[in-house]
Amino acid sequence: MERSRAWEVMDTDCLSNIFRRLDVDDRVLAIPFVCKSWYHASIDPLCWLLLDLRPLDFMPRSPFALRFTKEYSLQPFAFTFSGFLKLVVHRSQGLASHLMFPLVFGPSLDDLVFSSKKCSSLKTLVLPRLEQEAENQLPELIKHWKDLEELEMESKPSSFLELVAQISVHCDKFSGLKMFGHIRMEDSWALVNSLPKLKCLNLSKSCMSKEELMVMIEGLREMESLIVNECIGFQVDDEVKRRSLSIQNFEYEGCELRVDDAFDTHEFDCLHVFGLWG
Amino acid sequence: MVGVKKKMVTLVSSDGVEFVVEKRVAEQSLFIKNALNEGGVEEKVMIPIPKVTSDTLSSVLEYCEKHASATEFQENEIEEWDKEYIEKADLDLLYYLLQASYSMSIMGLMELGAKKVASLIRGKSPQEIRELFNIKNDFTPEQEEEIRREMQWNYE
Repeated sequence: MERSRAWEVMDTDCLSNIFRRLDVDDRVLAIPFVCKSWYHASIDPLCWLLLDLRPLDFMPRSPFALRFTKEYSLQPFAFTFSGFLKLVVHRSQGLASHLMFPLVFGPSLDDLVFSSKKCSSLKTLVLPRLEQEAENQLPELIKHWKDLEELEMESKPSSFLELVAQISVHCDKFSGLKMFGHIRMEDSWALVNSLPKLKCLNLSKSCMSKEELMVMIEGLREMESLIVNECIGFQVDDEVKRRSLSIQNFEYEGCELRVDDAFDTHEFDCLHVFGLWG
Repeated sequence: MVGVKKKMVTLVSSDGVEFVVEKRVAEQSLFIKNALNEGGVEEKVMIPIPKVTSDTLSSVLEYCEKHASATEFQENEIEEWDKEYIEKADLDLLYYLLQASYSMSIMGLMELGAKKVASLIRGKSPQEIRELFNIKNDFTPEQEEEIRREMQWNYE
């Protein structure tokens, strides 16, 4: 019978189901130019729920930037991260559930404010290290992301305590946090007091002592996964293991008490080692 | 104690071929499951499957049969089976499997097929995609320009 397949007349729903699995660059640079019906399927907001911008190189003269500039006949050097962000966010029509910013050439304060207003359905947000201005504003923006479940940050922001407080007020479903930095006692207590229902916590490559770790293990009673690989400042001894028995997934590979014997653990500032704070 | 008699249903493809399968196999399709529930008929049910030819339906049922018995296998065994199943489908069959899984509401098969097609598209230029899927470029130059212009306002 009709043995002539016709990919251009496939149901739009079928097509957009395929397209939403593609990387963002395929969705922007290839699919819309294939044929009319693919173009129409490609602008279905359901194709744009997942906005993972991490694999893309936003450097001004990167192959991706050049290809985009050529494909869309932009003025030379007109390509910007902000422009691209606007495009993909516009496509999602407010339905985006995952927004993952690239680690290099990440969002300015304006980009963050824009995302908070236009992506109010976000469940997962991945942030690179932010500029000071954006870091300071981050807690203010949290109220726009009421559905937020997971937050991943390249480093612990200086506004961390305020951030946690805002998450506690506005994000009922919040359950997962990933970041690294210097975890102080007040940070541990902030997590325990403000986010007692946290299920997944990943603090790999952080700097903290056993005391700070124990506060979280004891205080976060619903924790299912705790990952503290390659941390500095403690070692997982029998006591830690015993107290953490109720945590289904506890990973602690490569933890070290200290980096250099010349330093006293309590005074030693690991941030210099990681070069986090310049 | 009555001997356990398997409940069977008959599916009829768009080209009129009948497939007699166990009810639990057919019910991998939500479309069929709903049809059976609505009908309230227990035996000798005939269900026409519109727009799905016998070649395609036979492949769809192979999938349904495996997944109706999924609990008998390890999870990775099913994954392996899925992988092989979709690997051996050519582009024609993939197309019909996607359409069929969509119209018959078989979520797992839809996922599997969509993933496979996405992997074929990844990283290709529009021209390469057209060649692979035998698609005609039906844009006029003006329409292509329109898409570009729509994109450009983001940069103004």
